[in-house]
Amino acid sequence: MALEDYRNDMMRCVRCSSCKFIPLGSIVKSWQFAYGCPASKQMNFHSYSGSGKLIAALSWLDGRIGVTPELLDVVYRCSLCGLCDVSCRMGTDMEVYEILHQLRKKLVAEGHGPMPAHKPVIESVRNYDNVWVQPRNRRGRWAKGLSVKDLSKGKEKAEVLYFVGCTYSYASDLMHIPRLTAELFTRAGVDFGILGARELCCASPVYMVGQQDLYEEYAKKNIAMFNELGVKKVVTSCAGCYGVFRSKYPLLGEDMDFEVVHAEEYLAELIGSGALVPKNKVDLSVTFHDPCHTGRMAEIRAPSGGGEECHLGCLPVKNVEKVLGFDGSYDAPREILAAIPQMKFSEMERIREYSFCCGSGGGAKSAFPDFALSAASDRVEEAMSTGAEALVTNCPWCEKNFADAVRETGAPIRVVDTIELLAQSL
Amino acid sequence: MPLSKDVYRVFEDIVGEKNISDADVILDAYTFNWLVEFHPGCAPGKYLQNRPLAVILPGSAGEVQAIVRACNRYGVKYKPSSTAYGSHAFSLQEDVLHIDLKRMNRIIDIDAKNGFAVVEPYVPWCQLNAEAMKVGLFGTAHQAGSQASALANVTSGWGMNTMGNHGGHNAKNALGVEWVLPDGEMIRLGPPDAWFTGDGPGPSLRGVMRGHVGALGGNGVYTKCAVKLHHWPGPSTIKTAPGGVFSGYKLAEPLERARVYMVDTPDYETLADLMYALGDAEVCYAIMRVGGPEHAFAILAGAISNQTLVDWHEAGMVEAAANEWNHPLIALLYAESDREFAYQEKVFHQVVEECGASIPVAVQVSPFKDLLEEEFAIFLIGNDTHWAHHGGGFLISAGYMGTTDSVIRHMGYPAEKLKMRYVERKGILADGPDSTYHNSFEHNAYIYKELEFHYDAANAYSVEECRRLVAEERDTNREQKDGFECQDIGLCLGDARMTIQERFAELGPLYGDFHIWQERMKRAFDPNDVADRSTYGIGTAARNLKV
Repeated sequence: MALEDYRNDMMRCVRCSSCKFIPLGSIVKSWQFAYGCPASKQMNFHSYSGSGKLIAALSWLDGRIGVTPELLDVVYRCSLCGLCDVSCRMGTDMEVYEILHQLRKKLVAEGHGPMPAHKPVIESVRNYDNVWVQPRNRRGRWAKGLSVKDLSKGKEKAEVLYFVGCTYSYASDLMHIPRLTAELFTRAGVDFGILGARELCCASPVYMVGQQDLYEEYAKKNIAMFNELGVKKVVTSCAGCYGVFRSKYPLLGEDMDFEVVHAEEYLAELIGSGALVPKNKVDLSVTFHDPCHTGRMAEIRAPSGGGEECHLGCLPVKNVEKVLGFDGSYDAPREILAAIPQMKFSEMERIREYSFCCGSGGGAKSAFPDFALSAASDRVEEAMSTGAEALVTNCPWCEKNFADAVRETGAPIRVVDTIELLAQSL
Repeated sequence: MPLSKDVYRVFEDIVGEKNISDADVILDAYTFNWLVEFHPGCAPGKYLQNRPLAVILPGSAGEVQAIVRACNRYGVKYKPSSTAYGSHAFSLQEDVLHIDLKRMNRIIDIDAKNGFAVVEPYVPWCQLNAEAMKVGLFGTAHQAGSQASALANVTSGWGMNTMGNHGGHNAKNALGVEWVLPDGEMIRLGPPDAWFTGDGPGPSLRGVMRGHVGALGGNGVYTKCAVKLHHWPGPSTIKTAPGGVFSGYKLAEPLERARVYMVDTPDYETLADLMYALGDAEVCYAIMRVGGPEHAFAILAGAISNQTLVDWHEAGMVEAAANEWNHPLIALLYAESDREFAYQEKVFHQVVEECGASIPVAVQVSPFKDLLEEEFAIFLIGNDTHWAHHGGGFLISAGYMGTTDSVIRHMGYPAEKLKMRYVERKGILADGPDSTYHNSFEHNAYIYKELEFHYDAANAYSVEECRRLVAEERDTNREQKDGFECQDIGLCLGDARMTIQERFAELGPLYGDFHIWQERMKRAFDPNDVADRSTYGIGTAARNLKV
């Protein structure tokens, strides 16, 4: 598949601006939180919207524009959150997300992309198997002192692989999340193990910036390793890993003999079965942010590759199922929060498949920190509008970005991972 | 000729460096739009021939005024736009500064007591109505969809809406207006300290401001507008839930005192009678048409996928409906009280019966009943119409405004006959003869009607067929006087064979020489001729006319 394959879709953009807003007028609940696209909200020129990027891609293919710093800014000042795709698909068969991704791939393949700030991340994955330029042998440090199986040497076996991900493995301010998760699994009697230093990057960050060759290399290595371990489930706490395992790895056509589960889906099941019983009251009012990668971007979007047939005169019909983001992991964190005694939960306006992105994804945080911070601040404001004392989420990237926004704006709200609250209540 | 560095700097000083750009990648997003392919020299692509000189993003009325004054000073033409959906939002002229009003996106005030909201240009209907509903009001949203600008709709273009039967044409829903004239002077329509009216003191300028179909950015820049809001009998927010068949959403709980009906009429004569009778009865909150059964199915399927429409055809659903229904109409009843709702229901059914219309049995049972009750209300209220783009666009023929009788009765059949010839040639979507979209106003006495035909923007043959169809329709209707030629004058489509100005000059004599009056106003208000002429005035086409 290539960008050129989607020329028809680009030509079919009607520039209606639906890609800028959350889908459907009836779903919009206020002036303040009607926008869905963080890039368009911040940058204002139409080029930064989903539609604008389709037009830019077509202009580039048509030779109307060249590769300039402005083009790269338009393409990469975007968290690839997929909201434009969901909004557009409400009324069309267009594959906006796929075009945005193919555009990045082509820029990389022709030596124009990704952005300079992305290159150390890519080199880090290549050299250290993680995005944080950290030595491999420190990857399992988060588990120090815990009694968990090490599946990396092939001597121990388990039903469940707990895949932690680069950020939870190395970020000292987030390391308590996998520790708590592992403790909860142990407490519930889950037969699980970890890969420690043998765990590799899921390669979602390199996929997102368009570095396809490296993504495929790591994705295939991971799939082979998971198959080799013989585990039934790969459980991860990281939204990025979850999203790419669930929605992108299957598109490689490799056999995947395991089920991909988010740690919170697993924990919600354990609560449902009575293996974990939250008892302690947590007197806190909270709201929940659906990360893009556990939500709409965790849904498999089989790309059409541009293939279509003409019916009923001139009706272009694609051979793929249209998805609208409904199949994300939305219920599990809400079930967990609902199970915690005394916790007060309020929804934000933009939730589930039309959640507003924190602004961190797609390489935006490293290349355009101002943009990422602006999006996160917008979301923090929305969280505060619910009256919540804590903004809860389950993605390390969102958590870090929200924490930065709270620090920057001085907003009186805490950023908390669902797991922390669950652990508190047990 | 590009802007000189010095002039560029003048504009940059007004808005700041990050709010102006002349980068190609930015400019191309202001050359590409729906319907561009139907202007001379543009098919089959959607790019206009000329890029703007630069795109500028003012953040206030003061900045707009400074930009317009600078344009006058340096002889730079300008074209303003808001959400900019459709080719009329762009300039077809060379060397034009494009003013994108996206940063001007505030709701300044909602005056619940007096029933209006003061908005800036980039407030789409979805944002305005979300806030209006909280105070029991609702705006008459444009058929272009909830993501389209409310201000542009009421001040600058068209004025169509789906609730015009009780809310009126949107030209009348523009109250006080803040207006930067083409020469840079800023004025207020209506009293200087209030927004409740756009008239007076002294002679009203409302007609000059927008006329009937709007100047589409050719007569200065409207920087604030009071939009009339109407009563809203519903909740402060619409609660939706996943699970609908069409958009994937449905109402989380039924709307109280509301019902969506589909009524069928055997012919256009009955349809016109029904429209008048329903208008007189004043029992509908919204009335619209989405064509005959084949077209209605096409529109609904478009919200799911194009494959779905093929599946429905193969399953015989569309054919079955086409055999049973003729010219259906969608109506939303929505009442403030149970008693009023009972009255609306009673009167509605009586009117339907008396006019010889009927409510098909199929829509009184599942799944169509559920669709109407649980899902269609979402579309009607949210005004989500952007799904009508199966292949990247639709074009219209026989797009007229006029009295209900003349527009419905006299203009339906010939246009349909012509359309079906093109359906047979497989250049446009095969969605039956009646693909008519209606908006009605003033108790349904007055109507806008267009016969839509859907094309594939990526298919050169399809685009060419549309051009041929429109040309043929125009050639056979040159003497048409029964309705107002809204398609060409309002949408500014021109004709693929001629410019908009040439088309205006051709149509002008049929409609009171509007082109001459428009050109006179253009010259009076725009002495330096810098406001965009693409959609306003006849320019060089007036060379042989005494203006």
